Amino acid sequence: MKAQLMPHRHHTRAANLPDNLSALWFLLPIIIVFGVLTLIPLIQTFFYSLTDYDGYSPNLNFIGLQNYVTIFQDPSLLQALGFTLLYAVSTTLIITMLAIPLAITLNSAMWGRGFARSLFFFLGVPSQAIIGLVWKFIFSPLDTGVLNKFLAGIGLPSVQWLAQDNTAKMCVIIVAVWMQVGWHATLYLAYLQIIPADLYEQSMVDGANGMERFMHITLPQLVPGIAVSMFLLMTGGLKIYDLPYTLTSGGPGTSTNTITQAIILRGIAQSKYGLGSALATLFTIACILVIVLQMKATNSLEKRFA
Amino acid sequence: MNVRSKMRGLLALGAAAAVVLPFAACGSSSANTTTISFYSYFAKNQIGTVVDDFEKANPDIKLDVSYGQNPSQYVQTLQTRLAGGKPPTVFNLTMDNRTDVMNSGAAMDLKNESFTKGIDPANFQLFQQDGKTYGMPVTAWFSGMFYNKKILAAAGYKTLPASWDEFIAMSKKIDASGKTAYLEDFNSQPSPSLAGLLGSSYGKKNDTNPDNDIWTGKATFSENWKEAVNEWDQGIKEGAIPQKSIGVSGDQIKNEFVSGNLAVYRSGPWDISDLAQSGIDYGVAPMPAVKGAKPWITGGPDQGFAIAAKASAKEQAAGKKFLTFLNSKQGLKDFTSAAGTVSLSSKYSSTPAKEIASLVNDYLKKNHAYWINWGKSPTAMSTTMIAEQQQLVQGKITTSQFLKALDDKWKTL
Amino acid sequence: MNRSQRFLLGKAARTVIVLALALLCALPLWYVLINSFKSSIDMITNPMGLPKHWVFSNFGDAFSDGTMLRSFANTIILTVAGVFLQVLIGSMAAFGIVYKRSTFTKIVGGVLMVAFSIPLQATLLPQFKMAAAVGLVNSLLGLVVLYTGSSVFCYFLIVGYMSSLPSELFEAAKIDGAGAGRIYVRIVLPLIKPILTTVVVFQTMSTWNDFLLPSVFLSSTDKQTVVLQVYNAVQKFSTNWPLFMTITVITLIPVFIFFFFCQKWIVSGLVAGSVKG
Repeated sequence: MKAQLMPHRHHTRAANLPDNLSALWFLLPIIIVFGVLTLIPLIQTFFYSLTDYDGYSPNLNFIGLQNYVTIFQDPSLLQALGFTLLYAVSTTLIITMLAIPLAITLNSAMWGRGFARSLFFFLGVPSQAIIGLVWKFIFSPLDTGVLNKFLAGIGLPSVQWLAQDNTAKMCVIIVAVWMQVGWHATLYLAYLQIIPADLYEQSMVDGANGMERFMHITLPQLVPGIAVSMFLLMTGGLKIYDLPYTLTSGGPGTSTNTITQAIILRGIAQSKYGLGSALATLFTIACILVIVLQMKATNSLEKRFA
Repeated sequence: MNVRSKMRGLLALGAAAAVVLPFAACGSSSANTTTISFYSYFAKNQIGTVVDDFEKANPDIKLDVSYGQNPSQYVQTLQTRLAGGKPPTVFNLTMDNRTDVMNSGAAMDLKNESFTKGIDPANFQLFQQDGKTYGMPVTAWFSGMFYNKKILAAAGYKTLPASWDEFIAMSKKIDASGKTAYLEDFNSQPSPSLAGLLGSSYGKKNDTNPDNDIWTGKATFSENWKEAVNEWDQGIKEGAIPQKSIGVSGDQIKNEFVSGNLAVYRSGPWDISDLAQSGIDYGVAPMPAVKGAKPWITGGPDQGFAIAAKASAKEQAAGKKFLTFLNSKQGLKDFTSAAGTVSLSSKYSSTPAKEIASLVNDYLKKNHAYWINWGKSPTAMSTTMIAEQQQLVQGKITTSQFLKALDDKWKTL
Repeated sequence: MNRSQRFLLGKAARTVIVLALALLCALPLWYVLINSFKSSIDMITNPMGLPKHWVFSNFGDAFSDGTMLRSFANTIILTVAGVFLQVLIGSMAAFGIVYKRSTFTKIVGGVLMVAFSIPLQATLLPQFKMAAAVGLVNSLLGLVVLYTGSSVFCYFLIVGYMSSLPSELFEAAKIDGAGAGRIYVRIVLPLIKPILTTVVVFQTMSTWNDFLLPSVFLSSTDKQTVVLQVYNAVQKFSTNWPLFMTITVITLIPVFIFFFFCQKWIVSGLVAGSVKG
């Protein structure tokens, strides 16, 4: 046994070095990009977070962890954190549940398929200013709003969509789903292409119905795609800035404020760049935690299906 | 430096797409023209003609203009450029960044420059600090209440009532008739009707420098704003400021007015051409006033123009020429007619459109115009005010909680 | 009902449902398109319907000052160069990770995931200062360099897909004596065409549409991008919405056409099908 294994191990070791080296060459560009465009700026941001830098004047003083203390004493930030989490989790779940069936449908035979795919993909493309304009018009609390007119048409009372805390939160999430579902369906569409066709052929022979095929072949095979899509949604959701801003400007009150808005508001609008930087640093750490948790979850999911 | 060498490495990579290079390299000006950059708060269709006519009058100077998208984006981008050491030669001091920019020393002192002549010194107040002048406003903006004559007539009113109490009474009648009496945008700015009440309240006290006591710490919001905020809250409770105003944009409000569903809204010169096209029969009035006071309008000096302190002497000289042109007959004419604003300078007297002439002649020129120009951290204060206003309209807080929130925020900044 | 009839019926039903849903969801796009042919007052009184009078002058106005074509050229340069580099760097990195797994690649992979979660706003000012120090502010080249930052996004999308490829493919090629570069170009790239197309399309769209970076980094009129042109139509109190819509339409038509033709490639894996084995 031993004698048989030896040459094999030898062989792997010898092959390891050039392989590792090639891998390094391929990774080098992204390491440079990451170092220059992310790591160095991030270190600077951390540095600013320990100062009273105002973002304008060249003078700054070290104030230690004072900025971090200020953050933990600010109740409005908890509110922002709450909505950001609600937004990130709910858009991730809803979009995933809608995008997979959409992708499967767009992958099946139908007329005008290219056109439909293009339309769905393009929903979120126009600028935020336009999306805000159109959806404000749809969700208008006035009786002349598109949705309220529709409700009146079927005999229901009008709803003050953007004028109430809970409905405003819901509106932001609905628009986010609308914007992104087509693009994530496109992503799943790509993943559907690497499911080996013989899996389906075999199941046809076994007489499985559509639902069984979906549960036992499509879904397990899509797990890597689901992991990618959910990761994108989660990170994107935690970073969300533009959408609530254009739709509600954070209102009513502060109910749809997000963490990124808080970073910008404090860092730039209040000329407390140091405080904004501290918030950004904490936010990055929080994101890492959320993502590690999510990775753990998807990993165990992948193992279960594999 | 390490950063630099890494950047170089990236540069080499980027050069793979060599098409970019010729474009990156061009833009250098010929020997006898000076190119200066101008980062404009004003939109292209407001200040574009001024730029064109300036370049015609000064063929040796080229203005490289970029435009801000909205007030907060303008502030953010300008700050990045200033802090990054690449300031535009000419830029605007806005109501949102003036205090920060003045503190930072990024703008040069214009105090003894001859081109500021002709503008009343009072207008420079917002752009002055420690005896220095950092910005020059050349125009003023203003707005008032626009009302649909037909809807008011049906409710028994010939013109808009001058007092807030009567305004509330009128709103009830109009709302009962199925139309909407009043809507305003307090989602992106402090409430215009509240600003009108504040202005009239200061006017009653003959306070020539409204809010200054709050900015200097001699008074609080709870003291100085109490009367106006209480009257405004009365309007909320009696339905004159409906909750559905939250989440409605200025554009939507204008749409409602144009479609004849809305009786009154706050507007200014910028809507006149659209209103004329729509054929709506409307009148213009000042903002309703607090009890026992004369009405005021909302308005004040526009954003100031500033020159970068860090610019070279040659660039500063060109920048001064541009400011000189802005405060000249031609420049003011171009600017006020495109932006619908009023000249602050004696060098040119703009004629406001006849529909709104009364607001200019009877109020703006008599200094009966008010707007909240925060003494420090303007964006933070107005963000707080917007959020608190909405909560007041939702009935979640009381007026004293509203005022206390403003006082508390002010103290932390 | 026989099998082919059932197939046709299913196809017809799917077509009707999907197209109806797509058109319903696309109403906001219709709103943008149709209002570019209206006057502002027509847009207010009749937001969704056909124009009372077709107005074409908005399109003329959009090009009137002569900077539009230049902006188009700038945007094309930025997008082509930026997306090419992003996808190249991203796919190379993904291949590096998948090609030979080791502690080192594990660490790099983990760090890149973290990089992904940092909001751009948090690093914007330091980035600007660095770019200013090396003279890359107000230059298209500088912006291309900044856009390579998105290669982390490309990496992430591609690495997930690549991991789903059977590893025997690499082993087989290695035994045949192919080097890493050869495996990357000849075997891996053709196999990941669906995801490459998806990434290219998505990055093209977001680079083309980007507002934040150009607005901060480009200050010259002759370096403007089309999206900056869109926002020039916005005014503080009253935006000329029809003109805004028009410029948006002009801006988006090229990307729409691009996507329409590219989406065929996303499903090309079906045809290439070498994975099917």
